[in-house]
Amino acid sequence: MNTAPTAPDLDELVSQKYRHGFVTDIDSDTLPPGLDEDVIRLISRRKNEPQFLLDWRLKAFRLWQTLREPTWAHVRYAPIDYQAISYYSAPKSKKDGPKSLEEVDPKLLETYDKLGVPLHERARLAGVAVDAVFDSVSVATTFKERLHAAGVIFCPFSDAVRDYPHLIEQYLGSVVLQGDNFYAALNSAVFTDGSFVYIPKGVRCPMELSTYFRINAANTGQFERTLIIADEGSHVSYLEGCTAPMRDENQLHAAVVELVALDHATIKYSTVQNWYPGDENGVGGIYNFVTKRGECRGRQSKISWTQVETGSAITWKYPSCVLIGEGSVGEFYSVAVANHRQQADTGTKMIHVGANTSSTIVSKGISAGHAENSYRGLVKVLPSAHGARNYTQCDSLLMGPDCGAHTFPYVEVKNPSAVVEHEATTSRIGEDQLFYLLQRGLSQEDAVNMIVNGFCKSVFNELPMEFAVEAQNLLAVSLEGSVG
Amino acid sequence: MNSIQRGDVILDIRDLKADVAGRNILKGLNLTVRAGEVHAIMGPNGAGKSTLSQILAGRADYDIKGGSATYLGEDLLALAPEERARRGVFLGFQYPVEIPGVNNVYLLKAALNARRRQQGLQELDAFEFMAIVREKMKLMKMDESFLKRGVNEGFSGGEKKRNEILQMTVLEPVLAVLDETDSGLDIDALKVVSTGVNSLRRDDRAVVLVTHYQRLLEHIVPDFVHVLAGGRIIRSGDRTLALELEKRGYDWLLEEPTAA
Amino acid sequence: MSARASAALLRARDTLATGVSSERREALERLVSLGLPTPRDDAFRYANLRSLERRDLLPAAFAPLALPEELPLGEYRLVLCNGQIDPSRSHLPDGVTMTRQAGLVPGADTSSEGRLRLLNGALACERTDITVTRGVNARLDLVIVGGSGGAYPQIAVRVEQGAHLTLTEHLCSDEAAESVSSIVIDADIAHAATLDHTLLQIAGARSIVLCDVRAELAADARYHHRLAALGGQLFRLDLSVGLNGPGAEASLAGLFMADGTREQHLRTVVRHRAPNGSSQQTYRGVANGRGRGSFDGKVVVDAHANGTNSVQSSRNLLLGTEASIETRPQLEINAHAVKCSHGATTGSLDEKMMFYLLSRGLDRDTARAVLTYAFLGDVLTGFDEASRAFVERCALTRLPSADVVREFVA
Repeated sequence: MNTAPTAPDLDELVSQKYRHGFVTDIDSDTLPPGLDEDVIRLISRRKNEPQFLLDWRLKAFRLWQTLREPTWAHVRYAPIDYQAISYYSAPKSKKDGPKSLEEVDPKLLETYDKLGVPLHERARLAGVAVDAVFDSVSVATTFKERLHAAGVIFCPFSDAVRDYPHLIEQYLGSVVLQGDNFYAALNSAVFTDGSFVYIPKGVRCPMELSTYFRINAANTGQFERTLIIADEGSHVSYLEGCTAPMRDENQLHAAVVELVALDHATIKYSTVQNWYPGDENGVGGIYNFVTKRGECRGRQSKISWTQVETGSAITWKYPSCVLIGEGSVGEFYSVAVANHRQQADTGTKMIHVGANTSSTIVSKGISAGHAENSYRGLVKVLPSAHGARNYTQCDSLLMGPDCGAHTFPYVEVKNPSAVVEHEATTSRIGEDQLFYLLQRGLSQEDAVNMIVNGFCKSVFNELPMEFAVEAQNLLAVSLEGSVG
Repeated sequence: MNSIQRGDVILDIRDLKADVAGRNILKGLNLTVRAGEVHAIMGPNGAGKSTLSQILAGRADYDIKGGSATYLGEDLLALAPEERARRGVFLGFQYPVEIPGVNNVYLLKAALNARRRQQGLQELDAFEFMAIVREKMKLMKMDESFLKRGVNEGFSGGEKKRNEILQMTVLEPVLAVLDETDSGLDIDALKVVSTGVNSLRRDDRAVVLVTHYQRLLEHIVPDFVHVLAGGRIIRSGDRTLALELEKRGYDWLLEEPTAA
Repeated sequence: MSARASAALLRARDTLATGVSSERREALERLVSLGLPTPRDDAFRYANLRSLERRDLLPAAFAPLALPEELPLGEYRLVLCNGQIDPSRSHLPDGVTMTRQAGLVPGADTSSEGRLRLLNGALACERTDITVTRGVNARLDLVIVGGSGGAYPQIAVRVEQGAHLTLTEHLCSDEAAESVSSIVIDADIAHAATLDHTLLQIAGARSIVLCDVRAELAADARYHHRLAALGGQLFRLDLSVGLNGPGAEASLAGLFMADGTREQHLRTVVRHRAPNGSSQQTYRGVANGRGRGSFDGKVVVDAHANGTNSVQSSRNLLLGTEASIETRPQLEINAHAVKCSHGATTGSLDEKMMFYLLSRGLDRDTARAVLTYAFLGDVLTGFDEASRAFVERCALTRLPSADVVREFVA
């Protein structure tokens, strides 16, 4: 049977550009711009945090002040004034946040409906539990009861700090140290909310977990933090989606995601990133400077990253795996699309520490318009990683004369029993392929769409079904008008 | 659309001249193909056979320097490749292109529905479509696993050619131009391919076979045989001409000064 | 750039002979303040130059050093001892001219590679300009011998329109000599001219050799570079090729063997600046014992260099438990109609092949040697016959069970 999703209706897609560019008019509790230790104390107090967390934040802030913004990425942007950003914005609501969906502001529910993420449990995404993060705070988490019955903890980060402080203290910053890099340090100092997941021993999470991030307020940054712990023998699939209103100024998004997989545990982490990319001339858009890293601490554990990056003015992001446990597995599947004036510098790091660890990297970059798209990856095999294996396939597609595609792989092997393979290609969309499809009666747009989707297929195959279709549609919208 | 009668002119090429990369390949070619006919175009290597097929399908890297090609009364050369395809011109490629990651069956369905839209017909739903495809695959002795593979991806030479003919039988073109479809086929595959082509023969359609060898014509018996050499049709006849070519080669024709 | 002041540079500055031009003195001063490249410099991520610190960098005086006996030399040659021409042993073919002049100090380039050029410029005693006249087809061996101390050859090669030069460069030094060479070669290849450039690096085990080659190609010019990096304590080649005119072609290939405690570092930058150029790179590396090797290869395609075709392959064998190989193949594409690819692999010998040989009665060492040799083989085919035979001999002697392997390849 024909299981391939049908091509998105292009006429419909062409008429819409950035679908998620609306602003929700809602009362917000927003801190004035600026960052110093008092701001951090204020954030921490407002969230009723324990002392250890405040100390941890302050330590991060002090580290941040000693760090410099990284300059090695193949991206260009005007200097960011970190004192002009507001570090906390929350929709005004009842004091302790909503206890149930009935208490959530209807305007927020409406916002998520418009984004296609209904928070009502009876609604369409019935198989997916959703945590919705609006600016700096989590506004709702669905299916809490059902997950609770399975022993799964899935809640806003702030709730986890209150309810499971020992887990937070044990794992927070244990994968991405506070001083890991400039943006991670900033996030550690000022992070506001995000999602926390804990899957107990031997539990296969009964449903997909999903966090939906939404930036709404102007002049704010979003600094969420996600921590996922998969205990021995457990399994979880987690998805995140991101959107923001269309605004003329750039907004900073500096998130940190930490994953920990213990013995025989599997974490599958999928992202469909569609932050506002700015307009055709490069005005506005999100700066997406994100640190994502997972540690396969246990034997035979597995962490798999899948990302479809179509949004953001600038993407700086390298979801990575540290493969410590013997026989552990790291995967990275990525589609990165850059059109108009977007700049993407994204890839992964696979650090092989343990014996017989293996990793797979499949990266598909598509550049159009005046965009710059870079793959940057590190495969490092330490002397201890006997029998390590890596396979990397990294392809770039060029659509138009003014875009750039770059590949910067670093391969460092210090164990002779390792096998590391890297392959990369860059080419424009194949004239022969295009002609073949036109000869079979397809329109130019359909033909291009078909080829691009084929090009990305090995990555889309890794996405959960609901997201795969969404990703295809996004791809078509992102590349709209890029081939004439 | 469906009012083509046996004997109507489907393709009319007049004094066609074309360059490839600055080189003069077609030098005034004339050919008339009518409904119900099968034409074989033979000729030595480099005579311009593939150029002719590619031009009929609308490949962009050929410069038309003069003459005309009319398809069902329309200026064929003015149509975009996909418009030609939707109007029923099918090219069986000499070297079918591999398109990794693009599902074979997906392409087939998209192509068929594009053709049907042009004909003012309803698009087929998945069940109707699969029923047609299964029937044609049986005819082509193809395994269903073909459908799930990428377009021509990792296919052997014979599989690619079979896949071309499968597409043709599903799309049911008015004019099928088959470019060296027989090359690289063993005898069993040749029979299967011929069955596919013969199944398409009807009073309201025409087939142009571009081939180097006579052996295909034992299975698909042509009404006319043309010799293309030096960018022109230098001799036309019935299938006995093909047999003679097989015996005598092309040299005797090239030496004769009688080329018209 | 706030590098620690290099002790070796300071020593060189303080003892630099009087009579050295003020320009070169200033260059050295500039280098002292900039410092030598360190692994913090992106281009020197893998090649650590700290072993230079213990060396005497001052240029050694000219001496008629002996040449290794087995060099595959042709009829015409240019011999440089400690960076200076030895006229008594140099003969040029017809159509090839040479001029000697004082060494040139390069302009302000503070990049890491620029700083190595500055080292050469500050300490070079002389510069040699070689010109191959229009239409001439010539062969020339360039023998660069180093003794103890520093040597800073500076060579410019110009191949005029339609001419063809086969240049085989031999980098050698006495096995025990603590020699430091910084060699700069600039090749200017005119319209439809060809330079076949082979570099045989067979320096002694205590030599540090830094070689910077830049080739600029006009329209339809050809540049073939073949590298065999077999000797030295630390070798680094910076090979930069500019395809500046339409239709230019560069073909770069080679092998390195980092055995013992040797370090072999290779960095290539191929820049396509004009349409319809093509470049191929094929490199094979072997690291054994505590050897270290790296391949850092970048291909840049400028905007409008459409029709570019570029292929790069780096395959590496890691044989020793304490050896390491680092590869970094990079593509920077700014044009539209291009076809570029690169592939890099690092691994040990194929187990299936090993087993096959073992099952035919070979011992493990021999099987390894045979397979290692076979691994290098496909690069060797690109060398001219004399160089190839020479490299085969040298490579073989580095492998265990050389005699048995020799029978296999004979």
